[in-house]
Amino acid sequence: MPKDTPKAQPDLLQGTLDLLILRTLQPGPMHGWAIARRIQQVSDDVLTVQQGSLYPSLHRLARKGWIDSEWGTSENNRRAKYYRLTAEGRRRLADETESWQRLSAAVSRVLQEA
Amino acid sequence: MSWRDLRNRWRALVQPGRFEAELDEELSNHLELEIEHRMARGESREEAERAARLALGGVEGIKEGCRDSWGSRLIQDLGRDAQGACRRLVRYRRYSLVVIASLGLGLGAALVVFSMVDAVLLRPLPFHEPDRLVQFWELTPQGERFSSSDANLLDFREQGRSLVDLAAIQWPPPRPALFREGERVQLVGMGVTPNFFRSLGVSAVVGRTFGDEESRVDAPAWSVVLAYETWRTYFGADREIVGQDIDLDGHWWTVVGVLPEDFRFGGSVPQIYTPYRLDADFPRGDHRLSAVARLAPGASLESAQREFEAIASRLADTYPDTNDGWGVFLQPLPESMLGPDVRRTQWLLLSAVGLLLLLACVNVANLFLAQLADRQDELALRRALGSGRLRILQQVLTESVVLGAAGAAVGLGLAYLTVPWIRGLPVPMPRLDEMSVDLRVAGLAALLAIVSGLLFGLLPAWNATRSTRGVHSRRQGQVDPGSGRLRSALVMCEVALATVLAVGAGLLLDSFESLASVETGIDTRDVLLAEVDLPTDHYPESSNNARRFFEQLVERTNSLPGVESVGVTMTSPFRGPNPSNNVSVESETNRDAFVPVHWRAVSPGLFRTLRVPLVRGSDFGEAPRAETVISAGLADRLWPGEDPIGQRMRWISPEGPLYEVVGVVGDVQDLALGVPPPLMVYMPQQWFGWPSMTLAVRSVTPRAYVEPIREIVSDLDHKLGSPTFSTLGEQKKDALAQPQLSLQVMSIFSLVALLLAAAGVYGVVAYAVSRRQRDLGVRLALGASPGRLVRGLTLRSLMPVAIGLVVGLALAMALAFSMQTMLYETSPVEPRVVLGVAAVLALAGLASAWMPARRAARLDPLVALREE
Repeated sequence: MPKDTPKAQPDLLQGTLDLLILRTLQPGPMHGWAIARRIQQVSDDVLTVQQGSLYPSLHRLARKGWIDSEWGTSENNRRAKYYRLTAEGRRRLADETESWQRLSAAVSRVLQEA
Repeated sequence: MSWRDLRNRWRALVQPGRFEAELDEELSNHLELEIEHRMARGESREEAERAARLALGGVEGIKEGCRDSWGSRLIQDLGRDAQGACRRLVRYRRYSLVVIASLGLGLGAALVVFSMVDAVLLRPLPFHEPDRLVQFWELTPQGERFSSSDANLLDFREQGRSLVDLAAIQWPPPRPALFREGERVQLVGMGVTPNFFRSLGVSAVVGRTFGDEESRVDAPAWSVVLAYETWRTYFGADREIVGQDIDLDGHWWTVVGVLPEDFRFGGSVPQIYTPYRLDADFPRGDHRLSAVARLAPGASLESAQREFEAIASRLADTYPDTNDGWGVFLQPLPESMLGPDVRRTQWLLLSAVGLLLLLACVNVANLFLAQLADRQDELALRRALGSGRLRILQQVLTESVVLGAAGAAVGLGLAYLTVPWIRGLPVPMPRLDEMSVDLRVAGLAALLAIVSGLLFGLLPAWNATRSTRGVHSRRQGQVDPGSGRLRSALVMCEVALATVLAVGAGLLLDSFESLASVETGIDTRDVLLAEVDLPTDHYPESSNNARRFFEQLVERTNSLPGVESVGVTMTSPFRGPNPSNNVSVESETNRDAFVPVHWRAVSPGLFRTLRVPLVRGSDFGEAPRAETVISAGLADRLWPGEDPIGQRMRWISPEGPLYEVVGVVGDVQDLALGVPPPLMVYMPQQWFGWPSMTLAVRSVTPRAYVEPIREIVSDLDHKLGSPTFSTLGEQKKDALAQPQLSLQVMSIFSLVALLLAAAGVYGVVAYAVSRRQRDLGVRLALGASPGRLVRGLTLRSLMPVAIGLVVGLALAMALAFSMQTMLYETSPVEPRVVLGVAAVLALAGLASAWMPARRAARLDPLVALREE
């Protein structure tokens, strides 16, 4: 564990990480490092993904056929493995986003009213 | 799990190298990007590298996570275990070979017996809905199953509704000679009513079977159907043969079709089929046709049986002379084709091979246990390092299944080699020639491989993973007492199983010996037999032609130099036929008091040729007269305390003809060995003029007369085919073929069982000696006598042998009563067998315990002590 981890970092549930990955890939193909970076940036550094835990998720999603991978050339002119959403992945993203929103809305309501 | 998911798992499984390489590259690429990113923010290269590694986390952990994600983990573990198992098996080469050989023998035997049982008992008959087929028997007033007569069958066919296509098989079977391209070939034929093939639901592969054309009453149809083999052998499998005429016995017959290759009916394999027409004018009391039929739609066996019983009693009212007291018995065809003897033999072999397989598994379990004991250090170390018991169990069981698979492969190979050989054996076992090593057998092999692997692996594996103590125990030269007890128990089982098999084989041997030496009443040595079948159109039954032909044949054979005596009989000994009838004293008017007898038409000289002793009176005279010779048993039955010579015997019924008794001969059993001799009547062939006879020639060199007799037959009628030759001794041997097969198979099984059990005892003692070297060394060093050490070791290991022997004998005796029906004049507790088996097993146990024990006495105490 890096010592400079911010204290407020919540543990990411596996399903949540999958969802974030799928969402991050929605605009276009990306390689692993960029995905990690992107999640971190967009969440204002709250969701610092433990970079390593990203890869098992990526490989599992690839096995399930929700994302696809392809070797391409990265910004620093190196061979890098790019992931992109498949049609199946897009469907999944829509489903999961909807159910996540329902869930978080419900949780927020409970937190506000109870 | 989606199809794509499976495909991706499969890719990870078959290309693990590519997946690993790409993962490596992906992760190092990630690090580089992170380092460059950090350096761009102004960190030094070293700082950036360190921070990047920290941010990524432990590389090995990530890799493991990714590998889990690939989803090929479980199978890869299994694959690794299997690889490891194979490596270990190669390292412990000698052990592996013994295990594989042992399992291979057991599994091979099981597969052979299974394919036999499958062919003979399990596979349905190759007919359409064989369960709807029945064998049609008439029942004699005495309640015996009997064949039917032409007139009766016609009536049954006309009146019965619950059977369709009641078909009959002609007797005696036609034996036409085929003339083709100047060659004369004697064929075995079968005459069947034209509805026979329709009844069985068998159609031709080329052309057609018999049909309406052959059933027409007005015009006789000269049609034949060829067996597949005949078509191939004599007609080059030419499809054009259908519709052509062929020459049989000098007549032109039209080939209408060819039967499927696998067509068989009962045990006989006819080469050609001719149509037979039921003849209403044939004597109603002449029962000689066997018949089959199919249950009509909606009819059950019981309803058909009731209907035909009713018809039989109507017929009895209409024709009291011939049909009084006769009934009908419908038997399912599959049952009638497999006699109880065949079933019993099959079950015996199946149970025996089951025991053998179990024994092989126990033996291997024993070896496995010893091998695991040698590896106790390794297993204990792995447990101590945190390997779970289940994981180790999985690994050890993988090993035993790998061994099981190798054993099954060997067994399958053995079966593959043995089955064709058994298929060709001249054993009168129906459908034995259909045995094959097919997919079912291969499937069974795979199943047995897994089951036997688990069976012999589970106990030792459980035992071996039980404790973590092993690391130390070996150091101190101790034997794990639990494992020792387990091994003794296993040896006990082996000895018990081997004992059961050996007793079974011993009983069969004893029974076979009694059967082979049973008194048949004829002298089977030095007699040549020649079966001659005259075509009935030139030589009708009771014709002078047939009489004269055999008279001349006997006369001319008799004049050959070196021939001692000659005779003819209608019953070829140990083959048949076996005609029967009823007789009584002259004055008897009550039909029910008639005595059922077997009868043979014979010529004068036959008794001398077969050396059947003439007890009273004389042989037949040369001139045809209404006279008879009867067996001693029948003489006692009909005229107890009186002189039968000169008495007159009533034939068939109170209205039947009379025959004068001229002689009494010894009782003869010329068909079924192991059955008491029947009451027998001999009729003069000169009187009867039967067209199918067997010539018997006694001479010191019986085989030398094959050619001369062939020439005489051809000289008497050049249109006749060659007679079928054999010797009386050979025919008796054929009659013993089925019990002999059981005996041979059981002997092989029990020999293998004995070897396996001996190997088990040897293994246990050898193991004990090697484990106790230090202990033995100390005792030798302190002056213990080597002889006493050996005796002690041997005797101690004989305990399980003795217990196993007692248990096995008890078990064998219990089981032997269930095979009593297969034994001839042998008690299930035959003391010779029981004592013999006990002695052999005890000796084998002693020898296999003594050999390794002797090594202990040869130990050099110093070497033994330094061994640690």
